[in-house]
Amino acid sequence: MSRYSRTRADAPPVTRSGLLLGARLTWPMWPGVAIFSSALGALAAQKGFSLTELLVLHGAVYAGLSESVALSLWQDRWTLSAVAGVALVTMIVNMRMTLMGAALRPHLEGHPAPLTYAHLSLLTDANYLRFMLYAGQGGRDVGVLIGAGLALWILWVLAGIPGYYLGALIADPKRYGLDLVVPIYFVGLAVPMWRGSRDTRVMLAAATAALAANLAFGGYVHIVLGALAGMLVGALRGDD
Amino acid sequence: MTIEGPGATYLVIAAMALATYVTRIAGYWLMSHIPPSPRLRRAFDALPASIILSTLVPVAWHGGPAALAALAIAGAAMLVIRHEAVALIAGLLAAIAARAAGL
Repeated sequence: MSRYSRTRADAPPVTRSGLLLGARLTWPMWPGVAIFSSALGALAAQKGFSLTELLVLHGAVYAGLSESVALSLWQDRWTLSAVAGVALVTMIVNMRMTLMGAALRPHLEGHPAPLTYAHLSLLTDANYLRFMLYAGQGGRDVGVLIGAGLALWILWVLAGIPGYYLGALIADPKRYGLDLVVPIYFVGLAVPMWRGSRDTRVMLAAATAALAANLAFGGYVHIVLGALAGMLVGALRGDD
Repeated sequence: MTIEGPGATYLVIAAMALATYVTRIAGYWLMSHIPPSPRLRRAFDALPASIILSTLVPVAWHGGPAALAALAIAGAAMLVIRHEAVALIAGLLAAIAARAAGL
């Protein structure tokens, strides 16, 4: 029995229009997602992947940062300990999604477990963050979360194909600022999330901890460490 | 013991897929065993902005003037116009201009 008090009868809806809205809300992300996916497709081709192997990788993992780290470590011959090592690195890079899944719990309360455990396989930064902005503005339709995740998943898988055959879609994505699409989009999401001085404290804590961790360790642990620092400050603040 | 060929590729992909799926569901699952509290609620309320800032700040730090200009202009555009796509396009144009100028 759930510890949250909501009953099944007023569980948040999952509607067709919510699914379509979620898919539509992701459009500013499409160029960045397509470029990233195709760049990984090109890298996978260099590493000797078949197209099917690439599509299975994109479809089953659907987490670009961890895929790019794994591809950069790719070998022709694997020991079982090397396989375990890649799985561990994958978990570390994707640890932030554990925090996101925990934070989603109250928004999914009352849904049947099979539905939730199925669509959590589509959980990624973009659909989580966009859904949280929608929820912060009063939205409850979980279709938005699922639709956004599904739309980006389809694009993610398909955009690997031109990358695999043609090399990355665009030879010099930096020239067109395409390496900055995701960070720029995130700025746009962050602005409406700022509602006052308590958000300033959270954002400063996350920014400081992430930068310090990035400068100290390199790699990708800074995202989860920054997120934890922000959550800590968020938890400690008074009920202002 | 070493393995190679397509079998090895699919084994590694399966290991990565399982590892990723576990990170996706673990937090949700764990929260069914932890009683909710106002403090926990505030912590999770802080998560979206924290993830965004944690992702952004190292990019801005390492990305040079073009990245800084792009992020600053996107933020300013969002503050004024409150439209994600407009902010994205303004930021992209700033990045293209800054890089074309050799920044």
